[in-house]
Amino acid sequence: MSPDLEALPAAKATRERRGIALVWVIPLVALAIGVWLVVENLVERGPAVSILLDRAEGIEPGKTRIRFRDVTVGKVETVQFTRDLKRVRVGARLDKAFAGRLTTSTRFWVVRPRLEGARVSGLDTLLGGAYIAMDLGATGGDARHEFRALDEPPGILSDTPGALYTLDAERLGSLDVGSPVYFRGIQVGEVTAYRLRGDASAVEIDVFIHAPHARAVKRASHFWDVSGVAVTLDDRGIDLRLASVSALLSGGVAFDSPADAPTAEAGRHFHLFPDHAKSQEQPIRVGQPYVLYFQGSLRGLEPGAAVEYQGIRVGTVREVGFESSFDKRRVRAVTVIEIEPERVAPKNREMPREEQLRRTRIVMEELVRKGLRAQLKTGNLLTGKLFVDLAFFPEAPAAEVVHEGGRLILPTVPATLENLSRGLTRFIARIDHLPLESMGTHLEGALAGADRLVNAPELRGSIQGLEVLVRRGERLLHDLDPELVTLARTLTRTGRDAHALITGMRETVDQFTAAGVEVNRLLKGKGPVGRVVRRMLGELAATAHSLKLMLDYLERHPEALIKGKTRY
Amino acid sequence: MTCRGPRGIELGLSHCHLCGLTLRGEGLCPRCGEAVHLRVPGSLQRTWALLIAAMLLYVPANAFPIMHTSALGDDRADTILEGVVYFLTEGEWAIALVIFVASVLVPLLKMLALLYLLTSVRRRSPVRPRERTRIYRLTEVIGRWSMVDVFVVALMVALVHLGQIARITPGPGALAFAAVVILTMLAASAFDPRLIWDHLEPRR
Repeated sequence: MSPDLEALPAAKATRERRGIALVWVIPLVALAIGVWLVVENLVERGPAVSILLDRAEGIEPGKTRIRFRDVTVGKVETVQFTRDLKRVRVGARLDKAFAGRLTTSTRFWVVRPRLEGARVSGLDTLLGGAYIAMDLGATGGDARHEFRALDEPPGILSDTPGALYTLDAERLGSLDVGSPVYFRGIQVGEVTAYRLRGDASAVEIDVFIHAPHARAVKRASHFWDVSGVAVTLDDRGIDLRLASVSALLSGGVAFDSPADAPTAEAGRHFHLFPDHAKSQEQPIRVGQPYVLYFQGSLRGLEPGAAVEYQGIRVGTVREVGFESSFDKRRVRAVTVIEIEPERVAPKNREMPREEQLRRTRIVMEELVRKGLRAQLKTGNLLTGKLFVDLAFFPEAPAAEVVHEGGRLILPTVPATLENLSRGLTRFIARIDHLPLESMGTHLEGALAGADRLVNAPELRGSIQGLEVLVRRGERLLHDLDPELVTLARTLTRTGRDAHALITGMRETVDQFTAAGVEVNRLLKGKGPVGRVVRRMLGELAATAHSLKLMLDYLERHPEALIKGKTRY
Repeated sequence: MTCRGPRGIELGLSHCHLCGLTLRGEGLCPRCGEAVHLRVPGSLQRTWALLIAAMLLYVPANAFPIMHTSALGDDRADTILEGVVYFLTEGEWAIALVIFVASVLVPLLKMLALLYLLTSVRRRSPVRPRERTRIYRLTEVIGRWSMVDVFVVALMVALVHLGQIARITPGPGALAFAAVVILTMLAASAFDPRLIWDHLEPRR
């Protein structure tokens, strides 16, 4: 059964192949691949950073991404607390490209859905979850690997072309990060940050102006707040300004660009004016102060009110207050105004300040000598704001600029309205004091005299004499007859007598007339009563005339009731 | 050891796998010219090489993410073990178990088995040849099933391609893992199980 083993064919001998088999290439390749993977992974690993957050809302290790220009460049690896448990330390690893690029100016912040002012941002995080955004910042600077995350996203990335300026403001108002900055009504920038100045004396507001418009910011530019609705009530009336609906919501800043000024360098500080009008007021230096003592109420006169001469502003009210002296037992309202020389003589601007003030003083003294007086005037009937008007009152009693304790006191006259009311009072008082009763008595006496004169017995006697005479003449005609010649002679004599009688009668009548004339003279004459009555009538006529003028003016300018008399 | 008889190697007889001729010694088959060996030449060496390669690649296969998933902006890259942990925390412990067994345990056990077989053969160990043969058989049979993970990744990458909404891409781990599975299969096939039986007792 079992075959002869020796009969089996023998295998052909082959050359024995010894040595290391080719198969060892495989583990070498595997090793190479493994090493390459590990090395690549190690080398590809970019810098590790730790970011400190107050809260790690929505931050998950291994999931939350770090994004730069909306490209994922890293991932959060760990979320731990700092040693004092006050913050969260987020450990993240970035792409290799960022090795050596993280400096002190690099910024990180957490992007979440946000609604601020008129803007909505971070909506994409609603679906994908929060992520950490990065702004690389300027190259150069010290390398850094630990960062404090920003509380708010920065409005402007560090590489946005443009320039940053700082505004010093008294108050922030309704401005906020992202509030627009307007130039000629175009939004050219935005507020990027604000902070209290170190000594808390002002608010510093950073505004970023985008590249092509940053040229418009000049060294002499004025920035002003256009937030919300600006309502100004002053001696010029009511001024209402509304910049834009967006600015109403989020506030805003506007600026102007004086044509001939040099362009401002980035980072320059500007003052933020509360409104446009204030920004346009020339920076006035200290003018020549004068002290005014007004009679009557100063209600409506405030520091900052205008001082005008012929309707043009020449100065400013600086102080309104009391000046009391216990020694003199006196309290009186004092108003300090400043006459600003550059308003009066702009061409003297280059002169030394002292010279300008000296000239102002000399001119003012001369003007006061000619009758210049300060007077309170109502700028606006509605607001009741007053201003100081310098005007000429030639009929005013002579006065001078008084030097008192180093101060110059300008003479004043009472306000027009006050003047009018005072004049009326005086007029009424004068009417009150008219001697009406004695005048009546005088008149009565005069009339009684006339009556007496008419009923005088001499007159009756003469009339009776006339009667006798006529009767005698009758009798005489009865006894005519032959003695006609005698009669004629007698008649002639009688006629002569009659003539004399008539002359006497005429004299009587003349006397009567003279009595009437006397009454007339009494009324018209230069006596005290007559003068008073005449002046009274004259003043009444003048009053009527003034009233007529006023009514005429009102008829033509009914708005004057509200706005005051138009000043030219 | 119930069955004891003469073995080809002891009688110096070999067998041509191509034409079935039984012949003496090693070399080329005189009938068909096929190379004939008493034992697969270089079997141990080749198995060792493939096994070492597989073991080397097993490290990156587990250390690197096997799959990048991005769904609705939620980016994640999971290694095999992270996937297992993920399903476990999601409560899908059955799936977690399947993945763990198929993708972690089986390749590991396969490599350990091969390692054991190789060292035992090298040490000419006479211990339990039948059990060792069973281990070998098991290793060969089960090997291909650990490609489940690779299949899953390949399928998912092809199927889930929804642009921004969801996207799956294979990670470097998938490649290494596929290499591990292939290398262990090759290693298992390179192993000559007859070697287990060569050293049952000292040669007389």
